[in-house]
Amino acid sequence: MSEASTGSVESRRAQLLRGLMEIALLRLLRDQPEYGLEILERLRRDAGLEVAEGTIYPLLHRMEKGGSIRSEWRIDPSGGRRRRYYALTPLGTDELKTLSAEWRQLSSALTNFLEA
Amino acid sequence: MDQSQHPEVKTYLRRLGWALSSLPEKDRDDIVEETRFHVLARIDQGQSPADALSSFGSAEDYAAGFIDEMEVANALATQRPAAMLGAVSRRLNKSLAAFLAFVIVVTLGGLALGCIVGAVMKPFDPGHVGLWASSRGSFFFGSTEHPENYYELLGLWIYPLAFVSPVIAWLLSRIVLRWALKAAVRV
Repeated sequence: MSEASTGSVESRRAQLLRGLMEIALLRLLRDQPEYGLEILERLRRDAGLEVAEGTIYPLLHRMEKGGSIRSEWRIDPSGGRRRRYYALTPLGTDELKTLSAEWRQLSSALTNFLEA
Repeated sequence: MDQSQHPEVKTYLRRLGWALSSLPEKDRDDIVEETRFHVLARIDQGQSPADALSSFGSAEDYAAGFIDEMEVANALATQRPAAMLGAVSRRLNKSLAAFLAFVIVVTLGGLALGCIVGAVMKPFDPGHVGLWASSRGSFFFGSTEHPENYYELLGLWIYPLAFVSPVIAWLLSRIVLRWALKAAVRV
């Protein structure tokens, strides 16, 4: 594969990843509030998304401005360290339901199409 | 462990604060603090300060990600057409949706402005200003030196149109700009 086509594939992958990150992040925060580093690790480990270190916080801030999540600084009970915890809002819960339904519909249709 | 043990972390965070100077103070302080805790946690886990910082990119590039995201979020939250148009115009080379929205909004704005200018000019030159059609099926809006070659379509309807067209352009522009910004942040 040429360098140009590899770059193109990576670019498309990055675009796809960015769309999926938002839905995975909402799902992750449905369980309990989390701080940035833990969110990043869980997106990589549990959701299988290769999220770059520098992309998670801009996304979190945008989603907070958009009202789907909220944040507060807390002292981490395990290490006594101050951390910024993010939690889902009622708007975020509704968005998660909508996006999950859309994703299931889309992935099912696409899977059928690719395997046809 | 604190940043005073790592001068490169301190320098990076200072540069990040400068690069974020266009953001509100609370947002800027929160971002710098959060980055500080993240980087120090990575160093605690065994990464070198240089590796922990390099994963964020340069302070200026990292700050640009926030400014970009927050500009879109603020524009969508306020719903002000000027803010949304500004955010869209800065994404013309990155998003097809932004480019299409910009073209549509400029066209709508131009049509609305044309209607207003036409309505203002009409009382002074009623025989030459209007929406003109030729026998060959072409149209144009404005003033003509040869009204005998065309027939005028609007007549006095140009006045209500001058009031209605900016409202329609404003409403449609808001819808198009919101769609474009939502599309732009998801790619």
